[in-house]
Amino acid sequence: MLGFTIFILVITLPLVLLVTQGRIDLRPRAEFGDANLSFSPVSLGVAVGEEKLISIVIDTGDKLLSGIDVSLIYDADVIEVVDITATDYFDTPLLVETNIATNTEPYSAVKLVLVRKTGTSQLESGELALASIKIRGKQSGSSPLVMRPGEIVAYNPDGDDSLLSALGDLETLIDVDNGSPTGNEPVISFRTKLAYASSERNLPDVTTVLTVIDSLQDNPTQKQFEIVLQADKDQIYRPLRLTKELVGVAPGNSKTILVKGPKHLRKKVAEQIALKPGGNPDFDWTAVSKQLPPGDLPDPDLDYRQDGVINARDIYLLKARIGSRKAGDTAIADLNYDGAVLANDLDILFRTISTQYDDE
Amino acid sequence: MMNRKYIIVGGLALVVNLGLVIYLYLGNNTKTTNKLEKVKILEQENVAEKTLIPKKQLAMFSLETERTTVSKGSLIEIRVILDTPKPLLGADAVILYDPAELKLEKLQAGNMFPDYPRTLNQEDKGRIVITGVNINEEELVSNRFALIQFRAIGSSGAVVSFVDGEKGSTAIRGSDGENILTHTKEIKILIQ
Repeated sequence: MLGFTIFILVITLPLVLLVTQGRIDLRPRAEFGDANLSFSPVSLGVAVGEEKLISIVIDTGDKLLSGIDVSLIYDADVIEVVDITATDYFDTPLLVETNIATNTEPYSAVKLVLVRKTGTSQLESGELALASIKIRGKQSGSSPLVMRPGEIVAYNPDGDDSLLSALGDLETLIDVDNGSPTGNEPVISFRTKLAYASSERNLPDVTTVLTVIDSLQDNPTQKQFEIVLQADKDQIYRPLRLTKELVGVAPGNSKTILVKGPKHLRKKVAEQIALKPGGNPDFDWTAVSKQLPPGDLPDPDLDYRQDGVINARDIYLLKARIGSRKAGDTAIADLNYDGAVLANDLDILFRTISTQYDDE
Repeated sequence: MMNRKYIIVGGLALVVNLGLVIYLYLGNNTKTTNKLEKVKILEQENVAEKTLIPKKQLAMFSLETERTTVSKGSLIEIRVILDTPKPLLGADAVILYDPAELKLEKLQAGNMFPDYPRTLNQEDKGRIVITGVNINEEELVSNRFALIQFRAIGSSGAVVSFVDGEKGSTAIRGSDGENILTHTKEIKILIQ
């Protein structure tokens, strides 16, 4: 009897495992066809602070594509997804969401839901670009970029829209390097000011991001540099290290320079200027029109990231801290650096908001 | 004797079936090239709201007009409506239009919020940004967020729509600062 029981248990074991494990689908869905997804270029190398584009491409064979839902996962310590642009094929991009959290540090995700709502006669088949993703290198290393396709919907002449199965190279690797100095890069020094900063207190050191856009190239490239600034008694900020070597920036004309402060919108401080190899003149960006406008607050719910716009969320972040002198609160919402979050900070925010919305 | 036979057969079956299970398990894993298989995306409320699955509506921005077909040169008045079931601290309407087809003639704050620190037209970007603020979180008695007046200057027409997503329109709840904007509704203007 014992032997018979063992026999029955053993015979049923694989079935129980298969059903409860959930990893293996016993009933693969009979789907309408296949769609090949890929990245273009197939792999990408980018320097720290540099931005490059990578596209998602789909090949639906003879099936007419009407929509797709796809997520991408990447290592947020190594790269940053700056922007995603759906191609014109999709007249109804339902969702393009970046910086979505995952259950595993340091990975983040982006999600795309793209739909073409035009008549069937305007749907297309074959190879189509879905979207281009602008990626910026954050620190040296390698980041996987992995597609997680959801539903890929195609027109089915026999009935309702049908699903395509995702195939193809769903993963690529983004290599980020520090860029190596060539000895030919421009070296700059500059002065800048934070708009509305208090004149009655010593201003703290601040970390800014300097962006250099090279518009001469066919595909304008950007390089970003994190620079710590120190204020003098006249509230004029200069780099803590007096000069900055712009590694990865080719000398030449048509350079646009922008500066973003820790609670400030990004401001264009120089446009279509020439940068020489080696030393350049000390740039003076202290004019009122070039001072950094405060209001884009670092958001604790977004890992203290700034979202590049001033909106009602910034008003909430500031209002919730009014009256506070705690370092954690002043680091977020003390816009004039007087050591406290007060009603006048809200007034400063309203002054910026009246004329500006997002980063230049 | 019978018991012994069952034990031998059972033992053999155990070996065969465990082998089968291991084969299926590994076979399934080797098909996956995805190194991040165990990484799960944490769905955000605003992500779920905009997927293909309809979700409960919280706040909604919409555009209303009396006429969607107009003649070239005529004025079009569009009301920006914000319907919300919850008290709001503030809201941003980020609206796109085609400046080659529509010229902004008037941009006026509504009576929904006590303060409107921003009524901004950026013609070069074809973008309007309006921000309403209710700093004392008073009860909102109207849904008229703003009024826009365009002149039809093109010859085909244009869509006037809201920008949503991270750098888009918002409806910020006063209690916790959450953006509860779940839906937006655009309009199409036909110029004849």
